[in-house]
Amino acid sequence: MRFLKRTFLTLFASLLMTSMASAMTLEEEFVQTRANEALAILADDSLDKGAKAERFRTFIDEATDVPRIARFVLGKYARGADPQKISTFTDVFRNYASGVYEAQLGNYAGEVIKVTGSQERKPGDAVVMSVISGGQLDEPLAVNWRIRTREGKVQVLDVQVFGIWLALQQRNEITAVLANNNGNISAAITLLEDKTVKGEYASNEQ
Amino acid sequence: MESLEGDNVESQMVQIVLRLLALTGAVFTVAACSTNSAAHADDPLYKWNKGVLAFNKAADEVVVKPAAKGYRAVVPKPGRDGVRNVLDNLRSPVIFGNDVLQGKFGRAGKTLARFGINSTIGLAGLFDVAKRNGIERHTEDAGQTLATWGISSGPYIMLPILGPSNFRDATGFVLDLGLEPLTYMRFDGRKAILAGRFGVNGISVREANLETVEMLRESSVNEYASLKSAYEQLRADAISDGKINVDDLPDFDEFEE
Repeated sequence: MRFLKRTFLTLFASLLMTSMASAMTLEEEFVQTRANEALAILADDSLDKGAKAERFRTFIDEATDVPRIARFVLGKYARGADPQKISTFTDVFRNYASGVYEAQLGNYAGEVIKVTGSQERKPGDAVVMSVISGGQLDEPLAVNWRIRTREGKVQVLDVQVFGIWLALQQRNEITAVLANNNGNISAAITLLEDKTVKGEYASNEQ
Repeated sequence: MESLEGDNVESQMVQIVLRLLALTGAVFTVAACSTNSAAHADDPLYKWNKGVLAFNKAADEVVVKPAAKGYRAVVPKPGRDGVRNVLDNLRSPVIFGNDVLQGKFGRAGKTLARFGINSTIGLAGLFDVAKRNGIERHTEDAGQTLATWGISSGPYIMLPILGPSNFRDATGFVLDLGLEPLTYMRFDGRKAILAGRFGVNGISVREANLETVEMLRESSVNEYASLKSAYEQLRADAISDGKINVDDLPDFDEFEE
């Protein structure tokens, strides 16, 4: 009888461990929940274009670490730069990046996201894999998320769509601009401001 | 007669390789004449590339983009999808060859099955019946094969008309001709078919990307860097078949104070 009890307990424990292993990691859960929130904002017909953009911008500010991404985008030119300049660049970069995505907001409605797994790069630094499908998409789209976790706070650092990591792409562009301008961050600020205005004009035209 | 035909194939291949070498030689001459600033240390052909990009953009504005727009205006979506399917299907032998050369026999089997199904039930490739039955398409090329064999990319190079590439992928482009059945077939008009296929493929790809290219051009702060970065990222993704190697990703804390 005791043997049976022990066998049962061992079996139960191993079952529990299996189910724990297959449960979502903190990062996976974050992506599933947050991406669903984002898709819900995009699909919300009760919001007009301006309100939708506003909601989306607030959402991006919460879910991503914009200051860290902006610093990453500046690459080696961030080192030793005037903190005030970096702060201005961060604001301008936030506006520019939001503008680029806002111009695309109308292209999404009714998509669903499914987290397919994750890989840890080092503690607090992981990549979550997902597939977005349905809605306006002809084909399922693989989207991967670079997630940073510090003291329980989980945030997105980069997103890979169609094989391209967007923050890395931005860094390659911005550092090219900075290389052509002797590392002068003001030059990048001016260019981003210029592009932001154009982006808004383009999106209003649609 | 047969040996003569064999010679023809061979001499054509040699000619293509010679042309590529001549091009490469020209590139080196240009590169040697131009002193590269430290800003482009990782891009030794920067000046050549920039010149060719300007040429390609002009060619796009004058020829390719208007052709792509015209194609969209004249041929409805189902027709364009059919053309895309036929072109994709014709690419199967090259994909199959590279699947095998990379030792990916499961994927080679899929490519072969797709080719068989789509060429017959799919009416010469017009319909992607295989996909509807769960056999998804993937691509491979000799540039990717060389990469999986451990050959490094070499310098980034912008090719006239063909667009962004590197020494490894440009070599792969020539090697893929060796896996192309049309290279070995003998009939009148073969060259015209090859050229026609190349042209239609270019217009079809451009048509599918009309909006994306426009959006990228509009939002990019440095088009040259944007194109180079996108090309390099897309190739890395293709070589790994979409799998992520977390160790290859950049550190976000690298330049923290």
